[in-house]
Amino acid sequence: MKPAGDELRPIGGGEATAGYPPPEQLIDVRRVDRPDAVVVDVDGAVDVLTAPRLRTVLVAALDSPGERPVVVDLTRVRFFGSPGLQVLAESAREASTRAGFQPLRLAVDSNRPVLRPIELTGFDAILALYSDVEEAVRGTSPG
Amino acid sequence: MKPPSEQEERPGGTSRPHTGGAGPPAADVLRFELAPELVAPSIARDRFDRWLIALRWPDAQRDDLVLALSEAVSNSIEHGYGIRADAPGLGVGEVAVTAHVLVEADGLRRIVLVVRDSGVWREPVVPARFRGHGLSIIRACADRLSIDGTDDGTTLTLTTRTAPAPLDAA
Repeated sequence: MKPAGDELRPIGGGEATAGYPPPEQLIDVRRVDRPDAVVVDVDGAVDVLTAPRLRTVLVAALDSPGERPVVVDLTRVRFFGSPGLQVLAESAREASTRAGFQPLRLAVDSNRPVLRPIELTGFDAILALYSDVEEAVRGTSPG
Repeated sequence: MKPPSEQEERPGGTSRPHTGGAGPPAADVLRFELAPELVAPSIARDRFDRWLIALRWPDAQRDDLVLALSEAVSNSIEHGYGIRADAPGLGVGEVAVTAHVLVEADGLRRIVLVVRDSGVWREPVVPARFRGHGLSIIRACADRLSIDGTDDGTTLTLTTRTAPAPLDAA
């Protein structure tokens, strides 16, 4: 982990209020179709602004032909709020209704910004968590 | 929805003293107001995080506090002002965020975080506004929490657990 000093930025004067990125730059959601899985790769922040984008991609991924599992890679997410939890819960429920039921699989490793809200709300009891994408694709338990 | 670059900033609207007396030094207070838009939580997180870093607040508690603030601001936007992706709102009102440091006699520090909105959109009864998981997250990150809802809006006040005094040698 970087020393905290690397992240020190001046506060107060000189703050550029126009410098905030547009919403499509707060999150990057990519879908990768593999023979053995559909992987949805998420980078950035998942909050009330960006969660609808994640929902759109997940709904389409769950509609993919074949009975491949859908894996959501959250290992590079740096913020994850309750709207993101809501999308995961809805998608997990949706996955469970599909033919050839494959539970939604989440790769989270030890990424605290994602794990913390999942644990605080008890979602770790109902979501299938794995420590990396390959493990999630195989569906092998993190042990 | 307007692009976030047009996010209007109205700093320093009200400047009442916090707890009476001399008041804390400027660096120990953070105050800003945001227009009620869906981008507001991300702006609030960014500013609060930088302030906490400058205070050398412990990393784990800092992450929790940023998460709690994001949930509180989201709640004001969604339930206070009724703003959704498909209902971007009329640009009326604001979400005011204030944070200050409390130093206790033994040198331990706490942060008092206040999120205030003037939204009365359809759900003036406070508990109904805080459905879902946002409030569980906020509660888990707080030592003390109060939510005061009136016809004029809602004020959420969160007091953190204690953090050690900053290390001067850092």
